Formats: sequence, structure tokens, C-alpha cells
Amino acid sequence: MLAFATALPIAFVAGSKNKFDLTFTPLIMLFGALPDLSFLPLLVLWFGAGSVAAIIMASLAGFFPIYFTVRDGTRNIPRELFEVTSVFKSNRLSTFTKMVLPAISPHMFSGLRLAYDFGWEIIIAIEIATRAAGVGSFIEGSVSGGSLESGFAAILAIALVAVVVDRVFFGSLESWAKRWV
Amino acid sequence: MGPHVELENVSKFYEARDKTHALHEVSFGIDRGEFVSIVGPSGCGKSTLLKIMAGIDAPTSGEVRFQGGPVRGPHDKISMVFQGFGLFPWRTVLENVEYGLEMRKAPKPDRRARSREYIEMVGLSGYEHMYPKQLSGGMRQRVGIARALAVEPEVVLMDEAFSAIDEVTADVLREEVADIHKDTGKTFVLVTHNLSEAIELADKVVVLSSRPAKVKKILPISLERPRDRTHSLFVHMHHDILHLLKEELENTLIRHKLREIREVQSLHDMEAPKKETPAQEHSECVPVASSPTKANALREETI
Repeated sequence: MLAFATALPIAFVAGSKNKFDLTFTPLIMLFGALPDLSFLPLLVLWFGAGSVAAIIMASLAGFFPIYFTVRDGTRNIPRELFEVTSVFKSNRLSTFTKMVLPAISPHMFSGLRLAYDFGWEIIIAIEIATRAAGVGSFIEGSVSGGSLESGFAAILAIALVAVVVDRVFFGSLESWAKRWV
Repeated sequence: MGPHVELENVSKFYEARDKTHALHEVSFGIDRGEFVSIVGPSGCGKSTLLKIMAGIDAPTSGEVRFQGGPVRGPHDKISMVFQGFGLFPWRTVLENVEYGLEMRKAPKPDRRARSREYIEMVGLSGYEHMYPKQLSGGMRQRVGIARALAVEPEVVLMDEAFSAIDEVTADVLREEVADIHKDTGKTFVLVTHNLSEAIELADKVVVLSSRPAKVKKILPISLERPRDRTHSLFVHMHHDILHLLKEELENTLIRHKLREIREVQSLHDMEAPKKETPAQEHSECVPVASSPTKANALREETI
């Protein structure tokens, strides 16, 4: 959610203002090129080994897919559609809510879905690494405690939750956003 | 009573791209209820001119007047039909037609009713709840036309409105637009590169020159409607306009040639001082020495 909230506005601006895009996107790409987990030790140092670090880390990882899908989505809106909004005297707000937002919603949801997948991976990895309370540390605990079954059970549970959320939540959101495509 | 729409010395330069001069002092008037076609060599700035008339592009100098008042932005009474239809793919036919009214904050039942009326006018009843993707090109443009009419404009601008539609469908649609023009008495301006289309629909055809576009000629079309493309006068008109445009094309070619020659010449001039140094005496540019005189000769010929 945090990733969504930060990536979206920047991506909109980058998508619609060329100058901004030229300066900002390379910077973001630079950060995107770094393996996200390399920030983890720093975050743990700053925020302690707990869920705060995990959430920030997951947001960081989710930022890039959202940023790039939304930026590209915004850039790909045909010029003619902007002309249509001008001819019919749309103000800035309604151009955004009635034109830009629906136009990019399919891209936005793909980005969100990707970000969600990344987020999961990152959170589990962090829990294992920092031993913060959670499914990750539960797996780690059961495996090192010799109880492989409960470790596998936990992994299966994660997989199930991930699949259900992905299919049911994002699947329906995405097909709703793409109903006209 | 003055003209409904009037263009006075409309000029347009583009600052960004090497200061292109797109329009040069374009002036003409359009009477109320008149159908005007604007033709010109491709890339001459016809569409730019239309966008200026729509108020979504500003002229560098000169002005467009609507009912005597200057057009300084999109106008309630001036509407537009787009080449690529300009439909919102996430909106149904009805919602697309409603768009203009929605922007004007018309109450929902009102805009529903009015949109349905225009959807019927363009023959799309029964398709209200389809998405643009489910429609053919011709049908999509009908939606575009209905949307433009739904805001009840006095002037309808059409930017290459039939160019992206297959010929047979376009033909039918043209006839319908001619009917709409006759029935509603609105002022229509059509930008097109299709000469037959221009003549078929228009009361007068404005022929623009190549870049920077000037008004080359204005031809009134007094043929009886509905127009027969095989009528000898129609064929004559077509021939005349084609001739004018070919002339323009040739002018452009000559201008391009001239520019090339001038460029070679200026390169040559830059190299010229070097020639005085003995080491450069047999440089490759010597054989081109005759080109400046040739360029001058050509220039005199064309002026």
C-alpha cells in the first residue's frame, strides 16, 4: 500500500511531464537496478528487526513495478484523447479522474499485482533473516527444530493464501479494469 | 451580418522544432450554415489550422473569430470530430456520446435522453451499451459524430473524419453527414486530403499551399446536391484542384532542391578560406566550385 501511494503520484507526473521524466526516471532506474534486499541491513539498523523494516522493505520492492507500469501507461495515452478532453472543456481534475485514471487502470493493476508478489517474497525473507515473529520465522524455526512437516505446511499455507489473493482479488480487479480492452 | 467564423491572418510557428513555419497569414470567412472543406498538400498544417479554430491550439499571430468574438480557447458552440475517432475505450457508446454533456454538468437524465437522440440520428440505436472495441471503424466514427453533435454546437469541425474508415463505409457516412448538415443547418468545416470528398460535401473548398500554408485559392462549389461524382463539372473541379496541389508539390520540390544547393554552397563557403592555404589546394571541394553560380541561376529562375 505504501509502495502504491508513493509510486503512483511520481509515476503520473513522470508519464505526463517529459522534463520531469528525463531527470527522475534514470534516478529511479538506478535504485531499481540494485538488488532490493541489499537495503535490508540498513533498514534493520535504522528501524530495528521488526515489522517496520519488513513493511518498508516490501514497499521499496513494490515501488518499481508500480512506478514503471503507471509511467508507461500514462505515456501511452494517445494524444488525441487529450485533445478530446480539451475540446469538450474538461478541467484538470476531470481529465485526471475521467481520462488518465481509467486509461491507465489496466497497467496500474498489473503493477500492483507484481508489487504484491514481490512484497510477499521480501516479507518472508526478512522474517527468516531477522527472526521477527511471522510465518517466515515459523518456517525457519520448524526446519531448524527438525520438524520439516510443519515447515512444509507453512509454505503450503503461504502458497495457498498467495494464490487465493492473486486469483480472487487481483484477478477480478484486473478483469474489471480490462473489461473494455 | 459578418461571417459565422472568420480567420484573420492566422500564422503559426513552432518554437521547439527548428522554428517550423506552419501557417502563414491564413484568412478566410465561413458563413453560417456553410460547409467548408480545407485541402492542401500533406503536412501543410491543415490539421493545425483546424485545432486553432477549435481553440485547442493557439495561433502565433492573427486570430479566429466566432460570431465576431475572438476564439481564445475551447468554445461551447464549437465541437470536433477526430480522425482516430477519439473515443474512450472504457466507455460504452452511450457514455462516450454523453461525455461532452457530462463536462458541461448537464443533469444525468437530460444527457441520457439527448445522447440517445443523437445516437439514433447516426443510426446506432441498439448499440448503446457496447464498447468501442466491439464496433467497426465506421460505427466508431458515428459515435464520434454523435458526441460532437450532442453538445449542440453551431460549428462542427471534422479532422480527416473519414480517412480511417474503409471506402464503402466512408461513402455511406459522407452521405449521412451531408444529410445532417442539410437538416441541422450547422456550420461544418472538414479538413481532408481526399479531393472528391472535399467537393462532394462542400459549399466551398479552401486550397492551402505547402508549408508555410497560405490560402492558395478558394473555390465555390455550386453543384446541385446530392452530388454526383461522375458529373462533368464535378470532374472538372476535381481536376482543377488536383492541378493546384500538384503545382504546390512541385514548388516544394524545387524549394527543397534550392535549400540543398544552398547548404552545399554554405559548406563550400566555409571551406573556401582554407583553399588559400597551399596545403589544401587540391582538396575535394574544388570540383564543386561551379555550384554557387548554378544555385544563383536557379534562384533567379524561380523568383
